[in-house]
This record gives sequence, structure tokens and C-alpha cells, in this order.
Amino acid sequence: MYFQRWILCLLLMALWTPPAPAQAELRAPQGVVLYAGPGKTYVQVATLNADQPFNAKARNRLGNWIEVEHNEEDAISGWVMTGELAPSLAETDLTQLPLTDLPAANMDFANTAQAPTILYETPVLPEQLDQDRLRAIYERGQARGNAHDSIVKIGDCNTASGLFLSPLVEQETELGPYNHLEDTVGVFRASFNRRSIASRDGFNASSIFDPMWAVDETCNPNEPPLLCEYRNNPSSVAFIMFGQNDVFALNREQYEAYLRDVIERSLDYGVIPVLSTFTNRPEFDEKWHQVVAMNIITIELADEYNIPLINFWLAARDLPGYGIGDDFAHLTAGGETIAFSGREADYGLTLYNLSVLTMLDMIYHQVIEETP
Amino acid sequence: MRTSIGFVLVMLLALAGCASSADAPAQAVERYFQALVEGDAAQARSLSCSEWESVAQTRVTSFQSLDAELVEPGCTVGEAFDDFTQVTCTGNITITYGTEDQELPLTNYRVVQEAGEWLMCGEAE
Repeated sequence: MYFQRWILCLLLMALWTPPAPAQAELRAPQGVVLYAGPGKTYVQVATLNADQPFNAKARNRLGNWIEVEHNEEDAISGWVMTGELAPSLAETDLTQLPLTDLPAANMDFANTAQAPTILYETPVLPEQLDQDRLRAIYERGQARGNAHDSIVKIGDCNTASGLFLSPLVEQETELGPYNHLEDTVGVFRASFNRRSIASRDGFNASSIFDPMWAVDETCNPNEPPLLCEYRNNPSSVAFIMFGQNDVFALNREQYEAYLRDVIERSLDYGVIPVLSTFTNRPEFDEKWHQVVAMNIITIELADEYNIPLINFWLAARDLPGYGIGDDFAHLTAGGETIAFSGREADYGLTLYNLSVLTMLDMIYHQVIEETP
Repeated sequence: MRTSIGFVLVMLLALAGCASSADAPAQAVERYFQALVEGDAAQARSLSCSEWESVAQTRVTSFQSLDAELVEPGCTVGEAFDDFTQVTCTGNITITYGTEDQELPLTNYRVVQEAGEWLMCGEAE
């Protein structure tokens, strides 16, 4: 009898499975619209009311869109910008959510009269980096003595802005649901607020090749800002975004030639160049066609050289005013912080910071950390 | 009397010519920067030596969308080296971008003579 009880007990123990840990209940901080996919070109499918409980189901690669469902009455699910549900998601680990296969734009409703398909179909972040290609560039840089934990900023007023990456050093900055970026931020932090000779208000893609702009006393006579910066701060990754001044100053051939030159010089120096498209509004009148054309050139060059690209133009389609200010030049910032506490759903510069950090995180984990 | 007036005139013209010739490298640099702020790429290139022409073109392009002004330029001819004459300039190019002014100071330049013309050929040490 005693033996039978023992057997029964063992059987019960074998059959028992512990319950899944209870997911903390999430509640919508405000009423939000849900879309059929991770972008505002998808149809609206439902609403989530303020204080309504929800579960997070999936995310896009950037993490700024998540799929949620609520089960109070009819089970309804849909996509919403992560920032719209802040601060409810502040403790959520987005990396635990599965990645969606849905593209950022629904081509059935994308305005292809305004911009061609390629701008909508090029993902905001690449699905996969070419690790072999980037590792080869990185190793060349390491052989030259480049710092593995340093980035370089190359671009115009938006890159030179004190709100581009610098607040991560100078302020207590909330990463919120993007807390998985913390280790990458920690590795590269020291270079985030370093002043770059290759980024400045008013720069276009040609400026970094004009020695007159290399006013820093560390630059040699006739040394262009780009090369002075690479010599002063040998780094592993460069984030490059031009366009806002280029639409006035350069024709398309010049833009392509100078951007190609930036890529070539970066590769020569063993720096992984990360290109970014730039945002603007269709109301930019006669310059809009230049915005579109220069962004296509950027995408094509990234493809030709097989280097990382942030399609920020596409990411910013979902922001109020497309994330650009009334001057059609400066990304919107809405204050002196870049905290990812919902601002990434509202402001261009916050979303650009998030895009850059996420790309850097991909490069760090897939390339730099993987290279012996 | 008429002979002495004529002599004085000839001497004055000769001196003016010498002064102008001696100052030509400095004038070339000033004209180069004037072309630059006016966005005159053809003139900036024509005032550049052959190896500096592409930089002159890039420079005009880099200033293209900006409001640039040449402020109190003053160039003087310095030492003549084997392959160039140094010209030292004071003043700056003031760039207005939005509400902010940026100053790019003028410095020391290499000037060379090609086909009898003094031409800008880059920065000197």
C-alpha cells in the first residue's frame, strides 16, 4: 500500500507542469487606433480604449511598432506604435516578442504617386547584415588601429545636433522598452558626444571634402574634414546622413559622386559606413522630387556596396509632419531630451536616435562581437 | 619742362606696374574668395592652379546653399619659395545658417604662376 502511494505520487509529479509565469497586466494609457500591420499605410482595424488591458504579441525589427490583442469581449488584435502605449510598456522586454514578417508599408495603400515603390519597399532596417562583408571591413580597420568601441558622426545639422546620441552621455536617458540596447550604448557611449569635424550645420555631402571647413586646429593644411575626423578618431562605424542641404546645393550626379566618395574613403579607412535616407514632406514643393531622387540614390549605393542602410524616410512616414520641422530642414525634437518614453512616436530626432542605436546594436552583436 | 613731366609720368606708371605686379598673388587670392562667396564656380576654377581646380569646384558646391560673406579680407604677399609664393590673409568668410553665424578664418595660402597668371593652389603650413 505504502509502495503504491509512492508510485502514484511519482506519477503525479511527472504529469504536473508548472504554470507559465503570469504576464504582468498591461493597460492602455490612452485610447489608440490599431492597424492591420506595422505602419500607417495599413488599414485601421480596431481601437484600444484607455485603461483597457492588452497583451503584446509581436514587434517589428526597430521595435517602434508592436502587435497587441485585447480579450475583454471579442478578441481583437492589431498594430500600434510602441510609443503610444508608453509608459505601460516601460518594463516590457521587446526582444522576447517574435519578429513580424510584415513589411513596414502596405503597398496597396502606399502613395506611390508621391514616391516610388523602392522607398516603401526598402526595409527601415535590414533583415540580415552581410556579416562576412562587414567583418572584412571591420578587420581592416582593426589592423589599422581603429577603436572597436567608437562611432563617427557624418552629416548636416541633424547629425551635428546636440540631441543626436549626445544626451545618452550627458543626461539620464530612459531607454524604456528598448532597454535591450543598454549594453551596446554602454560599449560606444564615450564616442556619442564627441564633436565631429565631419558634421556641421549647413553641410552638404561635398562639404566634408573641402579643407576650408576643417577649421579644427588638429587638422592639417589641405586636409578635408572627413579625413581629419577619421585620422583623429579612428572608429569602427560611421553614421552618415545628408540630404537636407543637398537638395538646394547639389544636382543628383554630384550627390551620388560625393556620397560614393564618402563610402570609398570609409572603406579605405576600415570604417563600416552606415547610410541613411532622410525625411522631408511632400509640401516641400519643387524640392520634393530631389528628396525622392537623392534617397533613391542612397538606397542604390548601399545596395551596390552591400553596406548597412537605415531607411529613415520610411520610418518617419508614421510621424506627425513626417518628423521634419516647418523649415523643411531640421528633424523635430520637441525639447532637450531624446528619452524613448513615447517620444519616438512623435519626434523625428528621437526616432532617428532609436534607428541608429538599433542598427549599431545589430552591427555590434552580429559583426564586432563575433569577430575574434 | 615737358620732358620732366613725361619722365615723372613714366616713372609713376612703372612704379604702379611694379606695385601691381608685386601684389598680384595677394589679389588673386582675394578674387578667388570673392568668386567663392558669389558662387561663381567658373571664376573660382579659373583662379585656381590645375591641381586645385577640383577642390575649388567642391568648395563652391559646399557653399552653394549658404549665405556667405567675405568679411574684411586683407591679403599680403609673403615669402617666395621654390615652387610657390605664400600669401597670408586676414578676415574671414562668415556663413549665416538659420539664425547662427559661423566664421571660417582666412589663413596662409600657396600661390603659383601658371601661364603668367597667379593662381590659388591650396593652403600653406
